[in-house]
Amino acid sequence: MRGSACLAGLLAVAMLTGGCIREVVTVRETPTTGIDFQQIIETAKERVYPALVFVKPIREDFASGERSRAEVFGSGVIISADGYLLTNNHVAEKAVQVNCVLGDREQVRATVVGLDPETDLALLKLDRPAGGTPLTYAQFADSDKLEEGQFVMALGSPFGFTRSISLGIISNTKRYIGFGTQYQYNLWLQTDAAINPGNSGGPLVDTDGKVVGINTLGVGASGIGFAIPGNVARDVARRMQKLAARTDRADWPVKVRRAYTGLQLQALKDFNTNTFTDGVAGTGVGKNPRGVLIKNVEAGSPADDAKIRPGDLLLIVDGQFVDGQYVEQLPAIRRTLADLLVDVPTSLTVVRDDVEQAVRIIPVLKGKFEGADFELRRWNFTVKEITKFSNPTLHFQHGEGVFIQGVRYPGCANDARLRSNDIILHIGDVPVKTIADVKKAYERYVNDSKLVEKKVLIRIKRGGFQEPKLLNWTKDYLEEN
Amino acid sequence: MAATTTVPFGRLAVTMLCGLALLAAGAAGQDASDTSEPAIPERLRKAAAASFVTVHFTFQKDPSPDSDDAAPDSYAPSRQRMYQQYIDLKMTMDVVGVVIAPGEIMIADRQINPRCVKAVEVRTLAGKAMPATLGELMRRCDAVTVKVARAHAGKLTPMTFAPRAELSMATDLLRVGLDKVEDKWRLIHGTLKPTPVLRTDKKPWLLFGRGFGESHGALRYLSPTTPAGMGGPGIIADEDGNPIGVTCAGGLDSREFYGCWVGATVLNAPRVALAGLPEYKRKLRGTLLKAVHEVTVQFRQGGGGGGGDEFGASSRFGSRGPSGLAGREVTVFGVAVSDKRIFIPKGLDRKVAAQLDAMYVKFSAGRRARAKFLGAYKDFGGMLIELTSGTLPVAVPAAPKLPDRHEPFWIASARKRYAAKHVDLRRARLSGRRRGFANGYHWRANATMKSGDLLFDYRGRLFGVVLNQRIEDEEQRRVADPRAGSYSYGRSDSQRIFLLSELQPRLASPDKHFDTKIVVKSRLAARRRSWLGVEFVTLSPDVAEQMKVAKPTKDGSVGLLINAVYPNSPAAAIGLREGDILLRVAVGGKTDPIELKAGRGRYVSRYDSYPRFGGNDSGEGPAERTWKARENFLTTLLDAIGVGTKITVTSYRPAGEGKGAEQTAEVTVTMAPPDISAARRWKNRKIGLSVRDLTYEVRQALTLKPSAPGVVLVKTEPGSPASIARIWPNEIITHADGKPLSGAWDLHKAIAAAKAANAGKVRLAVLRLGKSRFADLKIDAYNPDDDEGLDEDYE
Repeated sequence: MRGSACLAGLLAVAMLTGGCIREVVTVRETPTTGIDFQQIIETAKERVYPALVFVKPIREDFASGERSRAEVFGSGVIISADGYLLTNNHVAEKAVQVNCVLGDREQVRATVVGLDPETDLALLKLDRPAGGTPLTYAQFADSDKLEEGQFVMALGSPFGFTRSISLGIISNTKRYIGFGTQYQYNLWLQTDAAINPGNSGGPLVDTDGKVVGINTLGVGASGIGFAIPGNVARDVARRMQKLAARTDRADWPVKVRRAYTGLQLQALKDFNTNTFTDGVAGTGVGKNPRGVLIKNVEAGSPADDAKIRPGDLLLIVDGQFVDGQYVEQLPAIRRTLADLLVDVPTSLTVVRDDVEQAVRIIPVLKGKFEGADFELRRWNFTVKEITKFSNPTLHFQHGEGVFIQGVRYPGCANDARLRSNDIILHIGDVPVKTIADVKKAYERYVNDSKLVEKKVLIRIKRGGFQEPKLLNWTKDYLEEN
Repeated sequence: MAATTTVPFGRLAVTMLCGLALLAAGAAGQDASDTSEPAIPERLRKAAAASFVTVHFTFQKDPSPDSDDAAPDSYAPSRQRMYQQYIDLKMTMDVVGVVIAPGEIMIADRQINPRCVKAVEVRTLAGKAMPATLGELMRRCDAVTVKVARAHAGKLTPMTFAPRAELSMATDLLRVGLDKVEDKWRLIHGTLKPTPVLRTDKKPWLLFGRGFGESHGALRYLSPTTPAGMGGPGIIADEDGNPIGVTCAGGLDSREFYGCWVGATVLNAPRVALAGLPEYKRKLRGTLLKAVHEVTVQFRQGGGGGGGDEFGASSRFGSRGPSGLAGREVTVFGVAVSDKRIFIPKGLDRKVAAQLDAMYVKFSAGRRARAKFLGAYKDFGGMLIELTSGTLPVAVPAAPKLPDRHEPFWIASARKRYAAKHVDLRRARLSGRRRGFANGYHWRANATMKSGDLLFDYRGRLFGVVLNQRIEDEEQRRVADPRAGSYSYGRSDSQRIFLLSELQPRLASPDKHFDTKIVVKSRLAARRRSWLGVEFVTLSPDVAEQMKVAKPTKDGSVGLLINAVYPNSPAAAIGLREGDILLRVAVGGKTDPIELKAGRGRYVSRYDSYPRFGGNDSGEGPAERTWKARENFLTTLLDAIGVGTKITVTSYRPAGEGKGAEQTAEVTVTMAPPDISAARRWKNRKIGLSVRDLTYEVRQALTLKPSAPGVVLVKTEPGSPASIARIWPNEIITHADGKPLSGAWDLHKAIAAAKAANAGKVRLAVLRLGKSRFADLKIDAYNPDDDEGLDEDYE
């Protein structure tokens, strides 16, 4: 799971940004305030328990070099009476079937309605007959009003242990984690309520039993867990719901549409790199400096076309001043930029050499975050599309194309010394630019009964340089055992 | 038992004595089964039985404090092992001797260390035993004498030699030797027929017998497993059975050229007491050491960083290669050839020489003089250096002529002993000439020698040096051959004696004889390399077949598949492009082109493995280096060929169904622009960074235009301002305070200027994976004194 893959990095980031670990309050002690704390928890639990779902998708995975299927465990929370439920993208993506166990111990199939890898959220809909009894669903609380120290509970199925509750407090309400290209649009709620694999997609609730976040990342049992703030989750869910309503079911899962400008931002006070930039003096209370530093403008992007340059300050977007003093403010600015109307000119104000300039920019629709997969079963490897966001290194070296996602061992591709992250340029005489090209070439060669020798020359690019590799598929590894 | 073959010598047939008839010597024990005794004159048999003795040596460890048994660079340990074997096995070394004078026995010179001899015993064939001592060194025969005490002298019968009659084609000579058959010493006997060697205007030179040549089995050290009697002196007699001489070579030749001497020579040979030799050697060593000098050679620090590991070509300074020698000091020994110049009998390969930093002649502890490298010779592994100030006490004395054959001379091997220079002196004799390089006949000696050994005649005058013969284009061919590792410059078979007569003209006008490629270079210039301007991969048979290039690439064994062509390179100029296969390179007007077969493993790019992904995307940690190390098979080969040489490049451009075509183009080998390992740099440890100019291969890998600004950050120091600013190795710093950087010097300037203006920081624009960001570099700690690398240049 992507969540756990990032753990090591997260830990490092958390250390740097001053995350601290607190002990969980022993709740059986007599409350000092005189409030019946146990009762509060009971109430909260009662409210949200019925909406808690054990999500068991059967997912496809291509990373091992062949398409494999496995049932994985995750959690989810019902957010509407007609059966929409939220979980993580990393739980529901590539699911060929999703089974959900509801609060009444009933197992129901669900359909994936929408996937948003950029916030790691997925919207599912339970497959229930129309006119069935309305479901109990969880309410959202305003996650912006959360405060550090507030009690919260994480609900879900850690390691598949269904309907588990862990208790803790909000350790930080605005945790910024500097991922390269992922999770650009949200901050994180940090909690010491235990979040383990299987908790993914489950709700983080307050003492009123309202959802304040979606549990997504954990750092082992270290008392450091992260949840997507409820407001972000609710917003993404609504967008997907709306989009899904307008989209034919056959085209589900829908994707959240975002505008792309090609701007990359750096906070004015970047404590991670000890880099401090003067903003534009603000006029409000405290006269906080305004603006955010533009650190990079992607080549060929709308911002590049608009001649915005790295080092400019972005001051006004959509008529609103931008406050980018701290990293914690960056996701909000990115959301604002992502919400600009696509293909419609808009005016930004940037500051260059202390001079404000109005810049006309035409945002475009942000491309696909993650590319499609394809299995070359007989050849024992899988490929994937390169996208700028999921594979920045490959994209930088090659641009769009197809790369080897996984090589099965043992297998023909492995014998040919093909490796994951090799970019495919040619299969035989078929030039490869898209997955469709790979599919076409693969099928042509594999199904060619006239082929005397089962050999094909595959031209790859590795580390930026081309190499020919000879794939010989005389041996059928899948027939062994 | 005698096999007869006819060789084309007119009417003559040479009898090859493959097995010698055994003859029971009366006193050595009769053998009843010996019925068919060949004819041997009774006179000879008697003389032999009386004058042949066996000499038995009992060894001990060298008890002297001067023993060099442990010295790794001396020959003593290997000899000591031989003695030790005898000691361990409680055996004596038994050799054959001939009594030549009262109480005096001649044995082959086996260069026995007198200090290791515990006891010597002489036994007659009649079984009388008597103690003996080592006697004298015979200066005209490869022999020494053993002496028995006067009291025992009477028990021995000296051989009486008849004067040698005129030898002619009609003469047959007889030979009697002593050999051990199982546990008995037996006389062996044979007839020696003459073979004439015809010489214009001169009398034919007659060789009697066989076994002539330079092989001096007689003079090898004998181990306990060596057959007894081997090579021991034999007696040559005329047809009537009158002994006329002694042979260590199996026969007799009329010029005493090979290891054989007539009686007069044996008896009248000048002699030196063996007991006096150590003192003689000590004195000689003292004289020689005045002309032999210890030279310290220092090599430049390597300085890693973004350049990657340098591959070391094997060098004659051990096998460590230039990178292994980086920063090290090596001691070599040379001999003064004038009051300023020292000849060092050791080669220095091109890459090692380029890294040379300083040389000192060490006179004594604490006293040394700087010297400069003048050049290394193209014909042999030797170099000449010159004192930059002061003079050398004496030049080495030159021998007026080569020592006579069989005349002992000295092999001087210089080394360090007891923390001072020292020469090991070993005795040897010239053994003959063998055909070698360029059909020349080169002298050989009857002792093991290593290159660098100096050869002095008996009186201590230099007559030759053992050197490695250098072969033209050797480096080039070594690189071109993928199995090159198996042989190198230092091959023992390419070492030979260079006579002073050969060396003298080269010492007198060295410039004409120096290898112009072997020069000392600046640190940066040493890292520059030649280029064609391509990156490549090798092919395999399968791939070649599938690409339909099996024929031109000889089943993929030849050919470098180009996968990148650098702009403005020679390759680009001759129209090579990605997908072409480089097949051959012909140097100059030579007809045999070098086939391009990059050895797998050694020169295939370090980037055969794909870059590790992961940390790279998050922007934390060192960035992945995607540019290739420019030291590869092709650049190394071109370096060996040399800048300015015209080469003809043959390439193959594949086209559909094997219809591709070969094309040739003439290119002059040029120096590549500096690559990252040779780029100008600036390093400041306090600021904590080391940057280098953005070089062509880095630009290519990062798709940066030639005009794009930037420097490559090759290293950051932990905890330094650079690492606190979270800038990482292999990232590109493009701007400092908004100003584009055109090189390492620029960044230094920007920081120095900011420091001068009392700014606490410099704003850097940093590029990683094509994405920029800003980082503030604190420069409070900047101090120009810590700057490194700024003074370096390509000159």
